[in-house]
Amino acid sequence: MEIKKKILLLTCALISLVGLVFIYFSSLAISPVEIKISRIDSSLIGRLVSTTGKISYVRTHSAGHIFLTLVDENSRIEVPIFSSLASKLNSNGITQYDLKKGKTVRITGIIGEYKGQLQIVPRKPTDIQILD
Amino acid sequence: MLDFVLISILGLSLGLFLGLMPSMHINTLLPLLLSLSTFFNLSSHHLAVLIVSTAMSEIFFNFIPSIFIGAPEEGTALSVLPGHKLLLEGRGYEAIKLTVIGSIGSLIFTLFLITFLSPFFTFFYKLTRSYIHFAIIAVIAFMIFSERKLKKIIFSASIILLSGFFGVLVLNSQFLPSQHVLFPVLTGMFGMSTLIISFCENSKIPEQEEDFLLKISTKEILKSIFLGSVAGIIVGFLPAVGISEAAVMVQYLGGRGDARSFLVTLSGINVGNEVFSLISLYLVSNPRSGSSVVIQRILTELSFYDVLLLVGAICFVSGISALFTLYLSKQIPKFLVKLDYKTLTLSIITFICGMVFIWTGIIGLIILSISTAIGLLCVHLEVRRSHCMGVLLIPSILFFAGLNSSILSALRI
Repeated sequence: MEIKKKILLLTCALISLVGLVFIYFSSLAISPVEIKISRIDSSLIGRLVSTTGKISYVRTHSAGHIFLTLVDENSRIEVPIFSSLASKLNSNGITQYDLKKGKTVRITGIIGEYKGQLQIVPRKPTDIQILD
Repeated sequence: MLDFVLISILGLSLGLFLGLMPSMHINTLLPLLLSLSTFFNLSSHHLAVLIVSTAMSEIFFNFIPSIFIGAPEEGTALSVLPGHKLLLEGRGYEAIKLTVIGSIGSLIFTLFLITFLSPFFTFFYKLTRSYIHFAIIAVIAFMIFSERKLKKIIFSASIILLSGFFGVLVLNSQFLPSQHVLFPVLTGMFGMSTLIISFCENSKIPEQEEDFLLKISTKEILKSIFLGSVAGIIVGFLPAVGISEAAVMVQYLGGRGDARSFLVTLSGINVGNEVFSLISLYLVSNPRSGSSVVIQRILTELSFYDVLLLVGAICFVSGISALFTLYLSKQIPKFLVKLDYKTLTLSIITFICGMVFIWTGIIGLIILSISTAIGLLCVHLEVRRSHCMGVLLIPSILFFAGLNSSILSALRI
């Protein structure tokens, strides 16, 4: 019976340890990588990144989606803000009208690809910050 | 990484407080946590980790008041009777150990099950939604006829109908806010009625044995963990089926009459449910608990790594909570046996009434009295007190059979 007690205590310790390993690896993946637009390529698809750039183009879809094009010195990337998120931007103090051409923004999101073009997809209102 | 570990430890401390305090639940604290996160500028991930750590550790610690003082939450309501039975046999420590083994075993087993079965969940979720009320009706029929003698069959059917009618009234009327209504109902039926009987019978907490001997076979433990995990997953994604309903189903359908195996199963259901309700956010976008609703709101779309982080936090706090629960369950009886049990019981009754009054006012006290009376009626009629679960089962059947609005109109609620 003493063995059972040790097994239980060891199992508890092991589970906590496994938990720490999971936290370690997920925190590496969750913390966004700060990266310039020009450095974003297809090897980063699925990774969480943060990038800063100027809005060069804004298009609002009738379904409520907002599509931004972000540029830095000589590169560009698409930023789709889907209606589910667009409707919540107010909670971060941003209105749809703040996202206009020429504004510098910092976007955090997951790198994806749509119709051959790379895009960065923000997931929550705080992923979009207006810097000026 | 360190920030997430520290947040998990903070969650564990909050879970300890919530678990040991009768009447306190993570759902009570969620609005406060949300406002504090804004104040301390916590990120969405930090807040999500804080919530799962609190919810998970609360499950472990909540069995301590359920077993030692008979003051349960919804998920542990049915543990009062077998737990109390073992406590009065001097085996309170064993009762807690069984819940810890059930919880830890279920955590491991649930994670394995989810990993292998995840591709089928969406399909099964859609398939079963339309038939759940038939399953509950079958369980009720089984509960009634398992009493065997005609007199007891009639009594148990009456208790289920009475509890069910009471449930329809209190759960659908605007007497109390929905997040508080179950507290006086379940505390009365299972906790208060046990405490009143203990008070009247002059029972006392005997010297508690501290040995690690478990009077249950390893095979029985594994079987109970398996049933608990599977039932926990079912609770995690089937609408209407709560922990108590699943425990009743497992108890009856699986023949889980023994107090020890029931405690392992019930703790397994609690953990399996909590783990799955979080992961179901990722699998079927279906939040099934107060904490998972909030997590869905703050993380919006959960990625694989978000789920891994939350599972990591769950595992980390579960291991520590289990060890801490075992430690506390050794210390608390030393303190309890020194007290006069009659005074202790009276103090707990007063405390519970006070908490019910604070949270739910006079209406809550009236509901507590009625539910206590139904619990005592079961004892008087010598039928199982789990028939009182009609309070949740009957309203669930009406809701899923689409009869809720007709019944409510007929009752003019």
